[in-house]
Amino acid sequence: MTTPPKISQLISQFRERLGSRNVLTRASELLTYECDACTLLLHPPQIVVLPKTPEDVAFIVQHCIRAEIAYTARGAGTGLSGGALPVEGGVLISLNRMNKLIRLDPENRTATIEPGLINASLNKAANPHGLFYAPDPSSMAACSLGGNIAENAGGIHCIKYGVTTDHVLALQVVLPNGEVSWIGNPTRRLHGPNLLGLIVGSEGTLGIITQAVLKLTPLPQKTRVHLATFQSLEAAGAVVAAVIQQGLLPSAMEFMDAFTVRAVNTAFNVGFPENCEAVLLIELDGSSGQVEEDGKLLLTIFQEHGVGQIRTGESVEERAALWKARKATVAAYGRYMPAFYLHDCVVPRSRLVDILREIQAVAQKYNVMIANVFHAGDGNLHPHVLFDPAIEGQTENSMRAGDEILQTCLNMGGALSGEHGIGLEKQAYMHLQFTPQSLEKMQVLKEIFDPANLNNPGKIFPQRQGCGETRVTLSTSHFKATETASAEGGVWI
Amino acid sequence: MDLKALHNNWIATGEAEYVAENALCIKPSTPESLSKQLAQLAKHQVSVAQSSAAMAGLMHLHWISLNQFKKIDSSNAADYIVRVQTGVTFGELDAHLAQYKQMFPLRYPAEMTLADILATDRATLESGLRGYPRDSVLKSEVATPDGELTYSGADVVKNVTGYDLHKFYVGSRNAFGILTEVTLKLIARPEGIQSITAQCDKLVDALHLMTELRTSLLTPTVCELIETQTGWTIVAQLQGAAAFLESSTRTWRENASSLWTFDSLQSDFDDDGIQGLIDSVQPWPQDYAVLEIVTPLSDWEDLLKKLHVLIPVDSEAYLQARPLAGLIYVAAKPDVFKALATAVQCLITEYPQAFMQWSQWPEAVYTALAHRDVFWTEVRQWNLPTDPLQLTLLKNLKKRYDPQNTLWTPELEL
Repeated sequence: MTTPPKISQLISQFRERLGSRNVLTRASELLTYECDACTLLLHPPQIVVLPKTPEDVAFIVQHCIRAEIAYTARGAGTGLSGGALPVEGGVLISLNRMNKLIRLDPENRTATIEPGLINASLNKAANPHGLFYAPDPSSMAACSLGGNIAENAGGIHCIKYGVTTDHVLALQVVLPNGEVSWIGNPTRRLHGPNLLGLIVGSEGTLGIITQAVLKLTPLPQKTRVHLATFQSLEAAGAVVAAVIQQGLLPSAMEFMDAFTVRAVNTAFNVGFPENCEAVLLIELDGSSGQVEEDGKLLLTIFQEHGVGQIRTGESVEERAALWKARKATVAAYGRYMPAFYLHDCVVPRSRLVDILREIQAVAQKYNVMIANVFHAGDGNLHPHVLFDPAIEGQTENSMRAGDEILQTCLNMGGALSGEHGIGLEKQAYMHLQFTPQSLEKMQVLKEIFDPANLNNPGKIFPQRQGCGETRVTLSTSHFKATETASAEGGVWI
Repeated sequence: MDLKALHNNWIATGEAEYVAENALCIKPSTPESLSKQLAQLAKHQVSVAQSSAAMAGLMHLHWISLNQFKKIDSSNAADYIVRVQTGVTFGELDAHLAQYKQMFPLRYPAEMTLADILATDRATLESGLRGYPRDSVLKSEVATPDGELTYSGADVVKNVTGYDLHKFYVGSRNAFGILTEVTLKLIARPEGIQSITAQCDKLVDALHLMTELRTSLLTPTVCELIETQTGWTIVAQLQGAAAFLESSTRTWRENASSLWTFDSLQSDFDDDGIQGLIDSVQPWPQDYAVLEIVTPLSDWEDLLKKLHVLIPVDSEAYLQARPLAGLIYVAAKPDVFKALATAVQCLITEYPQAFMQWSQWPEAVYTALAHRDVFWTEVRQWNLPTDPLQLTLLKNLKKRYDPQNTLWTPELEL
């Protein structure tokens, strides 16, 4: 248990190194850091520190080790699984001020960045050189690249370009022993055992990323977005399956259900066609010739599956208009219910129609509204269970509905999380996807990296073993109204 | 049960056989049997080698053959994934996937098993464009010396649940566990395959042709520049929709150098494939040692020119480059190799981001290891991080995953 003298001593040491302005201790200052974008759980830190260099981070970690105080790194706070919450209190290391683009190397298509750099800022710098950074979580305007790496973030375009781990060449990491190490190589994948692939996606539990060398991708010659409406979920699901089966590789393939379309039209007047049950947004990119060829095949698939309306966008403005509705969905839901529970489960793409039917059945069973907008191209669902915490029983029903959806996804051969991570939110479900032996092998890894278990403890793995395991307790007071979310400053998926 | 009795028991049940005096080949029928056998060997503190090492002449008293692990499960073919046991050869997998018009993104010799491909995360000619096997592994089943079969990942194309241990096991040369089954991400099989070659006398002319190809709108999947006894040969391959390939190459040919030769457009891969074409050009025999130099894309051309000057004409050493990946290979007879490697090491210090590592081609590694007196330590260390912190982490992981140190990996000094 942390003792106040240890905390006081740490505060003095940090202030001496970082300056008083970079060490936050007042309750009002700490409040900002008590949750991330997953507002289900609140865990305020005891100290927040704002380092500016990798050496600062190493200094902080070394002093935390000496004091036996837990520490947790945090990026922009846009995470959706509570991964950056200091569950045991202690020190929260906010990396926002380490936000430089250290080097852009167009010739070698790499960028060296600090972890606090915002995802979209990298693209802004890379685009004039004909390059882009492919992983594009919907929160890219606000989320930091360090957080993206820690969570192995995905995004709309990862169906074609891969997720974050496919774009990380090397990482500078402050390991849980307080030492700084470069893992990987900026030039190329190294042979032999690969620690880099373990660090990416480890949710900040194996070390703190202080710099990264990222791979950049040439911008496609041509990009075209197709919006297509369908009269049934089945038809839309069948189109997704057909696109995959035909070997087409769109750069994005997104699904919105009828409720979602109505919600974004009402909230933002985006003018999407409403006389349908489902909308698909499919983006093709590549050489002009390839986009033309793929476009013909795509239209054939649409027609074979009874497409309703089709709209296309090719210019930057046209494409932005079509994507606007997709990106504004969460804010739009706020007009219907004051709270939601967002899931992030995955099913094989061939099971999309099945899972959508199951989700409808679950919604009826628990008498809750469930809206669907998701990355159809990689089977990554985002069911939003909408509810009003003020209505008795709705919160509990929403939780039960969510549990059942997760279990159904796993029964279909899916996974607990496609891009949001496990963090605190889903750790109690891990035993549903992995055997105890498999979980133990993962936990051994954590023990080897972090024997003192001070680096972001209490995440990913179930904290209590056996049949007495219970999921994270969610209090109705923890839900924040979705009405406060907006396309610019709220929750993205 | 003593070790001899254990052997006899396995032999009686068809799960092992003597292949030479005292050399026992363990042939488990299932992954569960393998994990039990590993645990029993660990209990007796008997080390066991992977089959490819044994086959390459590094004979060990106990080695494992996964030849009975032949299951291929395409029940999720519609999802462009396949679940496959690692005793399956690439040829078997490729023939199976062809039925679904699918393929693994990288291509290997037909007889090579997935176990060998994954243990070394073996690069291919396509790696510059399509990455490495590790990138396509979505899930793994691993047998470990504690007698367990464990899993990481999932049978879906996107997943961030738990640590990506499958990314760690792939390329770890079975040092921490033996991969018994994997789920792989697939791509569509191209309907057109077009090979292009060019020959020149001088490196400078070959580099000019490389620039011509690079600045075209064609996107080669393979591009290899090979030094031969008489000059230089470029071998490239395009893959894609047949009509698109036909039209794009026709347009390009109108302005390209006449040195380029276009093979006829094919509708599927040859048995030998592009590697066969390269093998027919490559002048150096299989027992040559091969060094790999990794360069940034911006430096490979300059470095290749300097290496060409550095290497004496009469040394019988050859250069080969993979520009899409920024790789240069130096192949030489083992008896001159070490001196050459030292000279190369001096040269590449001029390029801060370039470095040298042992070739990922296992045959070349085993060739080097066979010259134990010269290369043993270097080779075993070159595939490991130089940073002592990371090395310590790996050694500690080895101690936990393989406490009796019975998974014998000659290529890693762990």
